Amino acid sequence: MRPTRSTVAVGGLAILLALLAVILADVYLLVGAAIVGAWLVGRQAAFLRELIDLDSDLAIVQSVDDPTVAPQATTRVTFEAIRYAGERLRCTIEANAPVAAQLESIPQLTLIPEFNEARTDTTITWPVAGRHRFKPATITATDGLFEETLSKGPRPTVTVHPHGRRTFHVGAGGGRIAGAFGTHRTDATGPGFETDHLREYVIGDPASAIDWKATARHLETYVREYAAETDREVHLILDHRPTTDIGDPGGTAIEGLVSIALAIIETTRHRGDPLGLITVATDGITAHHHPTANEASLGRMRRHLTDLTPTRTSRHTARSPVSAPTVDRLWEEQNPFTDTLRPFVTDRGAYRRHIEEQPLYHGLETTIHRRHGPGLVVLLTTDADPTELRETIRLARRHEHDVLCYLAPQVLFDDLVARDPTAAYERYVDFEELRRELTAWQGVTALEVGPHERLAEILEAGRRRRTVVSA
Amino acid sequence: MNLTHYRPTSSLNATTLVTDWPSYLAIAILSGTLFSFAGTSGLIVATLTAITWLVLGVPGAIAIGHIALVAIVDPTLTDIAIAEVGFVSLVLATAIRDSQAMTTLIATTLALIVFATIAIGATTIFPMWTAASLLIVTIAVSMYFIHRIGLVHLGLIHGGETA
Repeated sequence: MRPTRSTVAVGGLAILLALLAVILADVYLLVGAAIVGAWLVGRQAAFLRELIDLDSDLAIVQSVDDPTVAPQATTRVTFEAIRYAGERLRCTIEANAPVAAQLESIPQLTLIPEFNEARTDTTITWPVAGRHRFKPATITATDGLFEETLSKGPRPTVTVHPHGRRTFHVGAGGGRIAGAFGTHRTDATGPGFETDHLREYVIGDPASAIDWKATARHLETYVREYAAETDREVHLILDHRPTTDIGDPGGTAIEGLVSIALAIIETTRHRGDPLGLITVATDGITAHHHPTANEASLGRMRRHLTDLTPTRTSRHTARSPVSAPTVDRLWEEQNPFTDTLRPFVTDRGAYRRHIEEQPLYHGLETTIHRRHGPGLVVLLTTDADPTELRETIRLARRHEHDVLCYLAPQVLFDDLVARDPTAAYERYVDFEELRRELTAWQGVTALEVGPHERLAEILEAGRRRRTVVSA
Repeated sequence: MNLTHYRPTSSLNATTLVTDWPSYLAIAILSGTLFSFAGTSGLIVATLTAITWLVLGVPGAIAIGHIALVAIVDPTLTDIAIAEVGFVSLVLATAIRDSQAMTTLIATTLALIVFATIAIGATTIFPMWTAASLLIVTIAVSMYFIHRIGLVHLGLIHGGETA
């Protein structure tokens, strides 16, 4: 509580009266000094009371319209203050934007007696990647004699991540989809918010379930059933092997996949579903976050994803997708060919062991062993190894999980379309066949992820080829 | 940072002139008490006090009123007691119209009792300069005490250093 110049002046008056009392040896002037001092103490006590009321009844809003942005992006910040007490005080309220924020002027609000609400909007540019947190607003309150500075208000966080400088296409067969990841329903009824249906009352139904309006309309007692809502565990499995390190700077496959993973984390956070994250590289699992809806844990997942880079070494080799059944049938036959080859093949479990050693498959296997009940597995990978992808999805389906697969086709990230548009289109068609094959499986949705412009070039190449063929 | 140029409870304000009836009543009481023992001289002091109150506010009015009374009237102890009723009523009148009236009234009254006791009591025991020093120190300590209470209430004390 700092005194202003007015307080110093009043204090000076009291001292002056005391000095005159000493000089003139008159106790009456000393009583005058006592009265001035008492007035000052009374004002200070009133200011403190007003300040305490203000501290408890002042609402401050500091909110950003988009908490996750790309570097150099701008966000709109709303800064608002409403007070319900401390109305005699003049308050200057200043927003405390993070150091990395670039703004034209610091948002500032002033509340004066009889004006108890103020609001301002401003635009902030974020040039630096990272997590930037606002500090509480600084409130300077004064009644003219005393002033005090308080800190109050929410601390919104803006995450500026280097991934996502380019916007990615997410869709199927070159078309966009509005959203593959959303709310989920169960077939059961129970406690919830969404009305499922009305039915006649039966003995045993709770009285609170009676829908009185429907009862009045039908002249029968009706109860309202609600669709049961459940928390479904979501397992994100993100591939960051060297095969994801393709594409132009700012628009690589790993950046596209990470952007989607971050978006999924935001969606599950809003819905309150538990979410787990596994990231896999060439040598296996690089991070394993168990399913949780805890805000701090989700924040750790976001940070992990923001810092994620593709691994540099690769010992990955793909095996033919038709090798296993073919080899199995081969050993059942007795002929000179198989007799000659049999010693070179150690055992019939070799294929299975190979698949189980694959990072994506192993990552899913790890998390599946830890959970109970069907959930949603979200795979974020490339189309570099269709065999591993198929086997991983099969594993998920064996455990009755739904699978949402975001695939970054390598053809959408390399420069083949510039060199040989026709070859690029054929590779895209191959990918599309794989995607359709996967989507045809029950409980599986496969989507493509890639740069808009590269996809447009490939589709244009396809159109040109069809035109030439038809001509 | 000084946010406002404040004139302590100055009454030169159209709204205040209408609504500040307790202060006008206090000025009337002050005029009556001063007139009762000093006659016309007392009225001159009361007029000076009222003008100062309108221009500078309560603290200025108290200071000028006391100096003028000593200079013009030279009161006895009984006169002082009567005159102070008027001045105290002026101080309490400003407290009544405060938005935190109860807090202001209680704090002002308590401070008045303590400070006046020290001012009058100390002069009977100590020399005037000691009594004056004691009063000023008491006022300063009281204000520091309220300041510390404020820091605790507002949570502005962020832990002490540990050994």
